Amino acid sequence: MTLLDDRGVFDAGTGPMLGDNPVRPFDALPQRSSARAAPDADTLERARRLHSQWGIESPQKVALLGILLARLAEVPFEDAAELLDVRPARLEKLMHGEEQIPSRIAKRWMVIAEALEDLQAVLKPRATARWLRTSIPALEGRTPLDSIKRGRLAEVRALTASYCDEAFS
Amino acid sequence: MYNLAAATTWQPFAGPLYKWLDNRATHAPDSPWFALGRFGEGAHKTLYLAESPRGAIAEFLRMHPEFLQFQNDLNITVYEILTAVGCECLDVRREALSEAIGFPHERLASSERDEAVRYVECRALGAAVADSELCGIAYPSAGATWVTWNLVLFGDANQLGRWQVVSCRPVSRPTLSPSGVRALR
Repeated sequence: MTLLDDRGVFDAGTGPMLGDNPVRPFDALPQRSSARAAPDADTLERARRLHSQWGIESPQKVALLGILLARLAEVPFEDAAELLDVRPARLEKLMHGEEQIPSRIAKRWMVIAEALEDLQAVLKPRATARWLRTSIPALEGRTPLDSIKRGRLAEVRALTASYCDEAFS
Repeated sequence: MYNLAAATTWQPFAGPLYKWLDNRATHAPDSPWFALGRFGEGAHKTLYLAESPRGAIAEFLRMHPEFLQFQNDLNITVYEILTAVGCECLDVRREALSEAIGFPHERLASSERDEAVRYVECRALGAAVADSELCGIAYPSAGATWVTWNLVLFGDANQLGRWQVVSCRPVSRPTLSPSGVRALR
């Protein structure tokens, strides 16, 4: 018995793929669907529950969180949570899919993701953590992290949008 | 508004000039664009070039002085653009030259916080030059604290009798001290 046989994934027609009868014609290849186990009732119920809990937007929200975490890979976890306006413990739950990402937060995260994309067009990602805590004249001397905490995300977004503007001043 | 008939023009020129570009840009460094800058408010294409790599970086750091302390981590490249300018450019690099056309020389390095105020005279001059037979303006750098100049070219490259890019290549990016930059804010 091969491991595949043992698991019942393939039927006896699997032979040619395993090399025990190389001259067997292709039309004898297995029908994998015949061996597929139907999902049990618990699995179906869990899928229904997740779908109703997360809604149809969930893949986009999860992808957005993934993009943000990639852009913040070299930022201390506490700072990342502060930037995303969630407690570190909650951010961990969101990362592990144990909690739904509210639409309100997702909209804000989208703007932050755009700001980080523009920032990292001119600054290496490893410097993101330091930039978040740097006093910036265009933000009236505040740091980007502080400005965002004070609800001035639009100002930070406008600042980072100007970073790639190559016209001279 | 400004008397371009009294202008001193710069003779046709061929030589290297410099600009910076972010490393994620999806366009060529030498492509003019409808940019909002000192001599343009989006109505005509411009290409801003500096006399030296240091001058190009001074322009970036003037706009964003917070990056003075991040120069080792910048994700931007300085390009050397070998430019052949086959038409005449307005030369206002010296005070006497700008005064001859009635342009207040100090406004070439204006630094007000509000862009609409900062650039009002320069944009009017840019529009006048863009509509004339001239194809650019050579002007003193507002970003550098040493004496150097920039050239803004109008329109597209490779137009007959105007200007063209001969080559474009990345060069090493200089580091500037804070005293070398006239920061905007």
